[in-house]
Amino acid sequence: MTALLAVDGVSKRFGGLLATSNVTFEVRRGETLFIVGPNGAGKTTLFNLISGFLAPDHGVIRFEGRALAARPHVAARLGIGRTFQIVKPLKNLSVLENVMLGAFLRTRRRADAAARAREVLGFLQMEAVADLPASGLPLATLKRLEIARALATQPKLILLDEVVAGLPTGEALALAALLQRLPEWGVAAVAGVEHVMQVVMKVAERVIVLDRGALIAEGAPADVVRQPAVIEAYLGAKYKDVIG
Amino acid sequence: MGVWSTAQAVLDGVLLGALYALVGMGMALIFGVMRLVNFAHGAFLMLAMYATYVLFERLHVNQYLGFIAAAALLFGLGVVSYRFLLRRVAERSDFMQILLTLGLSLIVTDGVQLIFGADYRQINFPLMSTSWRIGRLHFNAPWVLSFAITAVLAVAIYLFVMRSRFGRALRAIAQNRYAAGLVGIDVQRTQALAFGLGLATVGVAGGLLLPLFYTYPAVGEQYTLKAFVIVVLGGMGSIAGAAIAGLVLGVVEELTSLFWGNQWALVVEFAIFLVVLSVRPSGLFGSQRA
Amino acid sequence: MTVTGSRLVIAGAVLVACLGAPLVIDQTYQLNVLFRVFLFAGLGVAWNLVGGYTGQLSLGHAAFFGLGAYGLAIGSGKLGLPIPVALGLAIALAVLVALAIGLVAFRLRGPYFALATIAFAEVLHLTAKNLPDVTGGEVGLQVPLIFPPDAPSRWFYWAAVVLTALALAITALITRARFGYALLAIREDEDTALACGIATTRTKLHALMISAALTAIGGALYGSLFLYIVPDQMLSVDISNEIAIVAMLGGAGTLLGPLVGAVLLEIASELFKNLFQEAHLVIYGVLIVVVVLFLPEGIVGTIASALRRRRGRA
Repeated sequence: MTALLAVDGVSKRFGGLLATSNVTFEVRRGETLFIVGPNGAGKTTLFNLISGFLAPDHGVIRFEGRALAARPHVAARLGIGRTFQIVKPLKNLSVLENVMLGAFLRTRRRADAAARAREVLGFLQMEAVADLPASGLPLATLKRLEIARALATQPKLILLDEVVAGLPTGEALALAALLQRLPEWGVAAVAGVEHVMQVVMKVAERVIVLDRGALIAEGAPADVVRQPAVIEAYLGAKYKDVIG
Repeated sequence: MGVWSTAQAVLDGVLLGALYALVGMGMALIFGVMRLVNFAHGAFLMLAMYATYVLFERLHVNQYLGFIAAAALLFGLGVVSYRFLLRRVAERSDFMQILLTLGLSLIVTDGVQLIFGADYRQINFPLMSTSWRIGRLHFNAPWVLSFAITAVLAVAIYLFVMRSRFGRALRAIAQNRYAAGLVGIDVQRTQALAFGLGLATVGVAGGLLLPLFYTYPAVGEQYTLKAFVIVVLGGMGSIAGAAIAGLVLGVVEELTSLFWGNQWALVVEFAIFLVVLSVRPSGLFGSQRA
Repeated sequence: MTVTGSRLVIAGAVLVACLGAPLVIDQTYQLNVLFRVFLFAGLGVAWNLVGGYTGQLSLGHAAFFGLGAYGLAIGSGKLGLPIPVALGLAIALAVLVALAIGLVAFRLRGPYFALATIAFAEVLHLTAKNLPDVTGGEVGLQVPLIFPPDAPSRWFYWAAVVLTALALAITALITRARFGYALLAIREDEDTALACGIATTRTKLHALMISAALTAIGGALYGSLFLYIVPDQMLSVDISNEIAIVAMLGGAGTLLGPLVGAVLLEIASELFKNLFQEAHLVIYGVLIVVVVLFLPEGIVGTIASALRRRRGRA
């Protein structure tokens, strides 16, 4: 069966920096894949490439078998939803209106968009803040808002960029539990970038490891973390305890 | 239109362009390096012209020394304006900066009109009608003199911004304001001085333009727009680029006047401006920063 | 009755009251002042679509204003078209030019967009001056009177009120619809808008084209009132600035902001002209500086924010 997303030999350079170096991998329907790697490994660049915000210098990205052009709004319409690592709430709108923006991708009618938005907010346990202005909310809420907005666009593939970064462990794990329920919302596959290894271990079915733009390991989380190359690049001895 | 008319136009363009270079360098400092959108640029230039005028008419200061006082005046005004007004919008949106400087421009322009009236003002001095000839090219003395002083000062400003500690501090702020503060640069003070320097540059240009052109309160507006054109052409933040772009603009203006008439000069400038903005927003010499 | 329902009733009542004003206010001078107020209110609301809601600071709206007047004048005069057709032509022209401007300018970020709009408007301004065969050059052009000649001031006043009402209605409808959310998203964060599937450039173009059409109507009205237009009056930077300032003073991004701004600015302007004569532009400049420093959200915007904060606390 064709993979939902196929990244094929993709490279991206910014001046002297090779941010993405000949990366090839797939995201299959029904799976939850996490991309990990040390800082500067090129994870967010990869997300920007997949969601159409950047064009690869080499290689092709295919979504549902068709090559993707570097046009972010088209990618969104095709079914690639994403969050942003640095949260971007629309400050002068309410939380509900923020999410409605996503919902409007699939419906013209305001009432339908509002209804869909409320459903999504309900799922993310954010009904209480729905009518508050998006400015001045705590980071944890804003991160959920990012997810809510992306989810409202009814994505087939959702890209979660460090959605638990900066959250205390309890909240991170609570959010991770919610993420495991994303398939209920029609999301065919989840791809996440994360630093927080507890979440990755818990949620990911497959992990790929980037280091300095290149893909250095791929496989089940438990296997990947044992690989010397990975340990050397990123994990360090203390994470061995996480592998139960 | 013979070769010699064209050559003369190019020559006149270079002489004029030097003054544009100064105006542009001032804007490059303010907009390019400080990222402050200054729509009052031309109004201040006009102020410098009037200051030089007053010095000449009332105090009989030589028309080629007046620019020093004009520059000093504008430097002071610049520092004060920044400290009390512009600093408040320096961090805010461009919208606010544009509006604030627009308001400032209105105040200055109309203030001058209140005091001096709307008539054209011009100074007369003996050197005006002197002209030298080399081959079939005419060199008008006031122009050459203005050019000479401008060229020296332009180089001086360039060296100052590029080599001096102050210049380095300024460029540091332009690259990363936060980091600049962390390494001990007094950001607010440096910016205030930089704005002063930018306006002082404009003050020199104004002072040196007066012997060549007449002035009137509304004369500043076109210079504001030309200054932006020059900065975009020359590339953001590039002082040298602005200088070269200023020269180019002068030549373009004179050539357009020669072939199509003076009334099309600005149109051509704006057209070039729009083309550069669409095709290469970082300008002819600039780095990727549009 | 719902909130919306009662608001509509109030709006309707206000509209009727405004339309009824000429029954009470009869003198040409006063009607002309009121015309100016409502004209700039309408222009401000039209500008607000692009400048306020979409966050694209256009300082070249004089281009559309002037095209409206010149389109009417040239269409009716040189081309001999009937007035409604000439008017339609003028609006169509403004919309096309808006498309052209937008295609170039919307690719630019920050102040470059504003500068590009100024450049476009100035190119039109100078070209109008330089092509006397087409536009009458600096000497100017005659504009037909589009209303019955017996009491024209009344008609112009009504037309301005209708224009403002139309602009407000369009804005209100847009802000409640998907298009309006897209505009706001573009203003707040273009990347987010893109990630939500919004074709940002196309959306901005649509907003600009609507804004241009409304502005052109305003220009045609203004030109027709004066019966004669010159480039320095219709296509100048001053007009562009005034439109933007009206909206910003009242509150860019609010529905009624430009209305408040127009009332304040135009009436203050008239007062200053009579009281201060020469110095009125200085005061105008001071006003702008004060608003930027102390009331950056404009009058209506500041009030709305204060109310929102009160509600948040309660």
